[in-house]
Amino acid sequence: MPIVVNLDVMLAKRKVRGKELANEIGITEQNLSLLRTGKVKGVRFSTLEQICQVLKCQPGDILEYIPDG
Amino acid sequence: MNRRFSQLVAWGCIAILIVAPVIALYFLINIELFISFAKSSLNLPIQWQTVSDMQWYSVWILTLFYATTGMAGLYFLRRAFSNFAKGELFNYSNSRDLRMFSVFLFVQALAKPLHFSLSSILLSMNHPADQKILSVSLGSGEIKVIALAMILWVMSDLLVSASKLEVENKQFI
Repeated sequence: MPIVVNLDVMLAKRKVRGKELANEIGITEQNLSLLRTGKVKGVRFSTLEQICQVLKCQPGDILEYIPDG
Repeated sequence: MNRRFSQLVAWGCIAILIVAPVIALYFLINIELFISFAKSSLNLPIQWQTVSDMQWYSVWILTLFYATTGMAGLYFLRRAFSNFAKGELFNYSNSRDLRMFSVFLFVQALAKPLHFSLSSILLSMNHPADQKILSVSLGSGEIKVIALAMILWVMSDLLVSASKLEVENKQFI
């Protein structure tokens, strides 16, 4: 898939653990794990907003478009 | 209360699914009983003395096909109600089972007049050439069941679509 989720990179940069982020934004660790591995069909704007708020970043820092091939 | 009622419906379906094949087999062994039952239920001007055993067995097979459609519908209804009793409400599997039930109900409602017509042809086969019978019967009862089956079919189809949407929605974080 050409959309890559760089949430792991941002978590490492901000030194925030996945569990903490999940608690802050009110989603389960399981769902956060699915998001981190890109195994979801989409991200809600509300979730993205909360992630950006907690990690103090832009949506572009979390999602990246890499063309196929 | 709803769970108990669902369990009751599921048990009822199981009971019918067990008893019906036994009755069918009993009718096959004791074909005379089937003949008297058929004579009383088929209100047709058949010359009964002309009907051979082979014809009665053919009617039995025809009735078996007709009844099997209903049994298949009950099988899917049992599955859905058994899950309702467990507290699993409108998930994808239940919606699909309800849709299958409505499909079989619809098929059986359409098959009822066909069964009657084919029975009349089969039983009057040995009649003289100008006295053979083709009886077509479509009453308000059949039309009601067809309408009910169609409504159920559409509603269960909506439930199947709703379940798919729910599953898809869960894939959005």
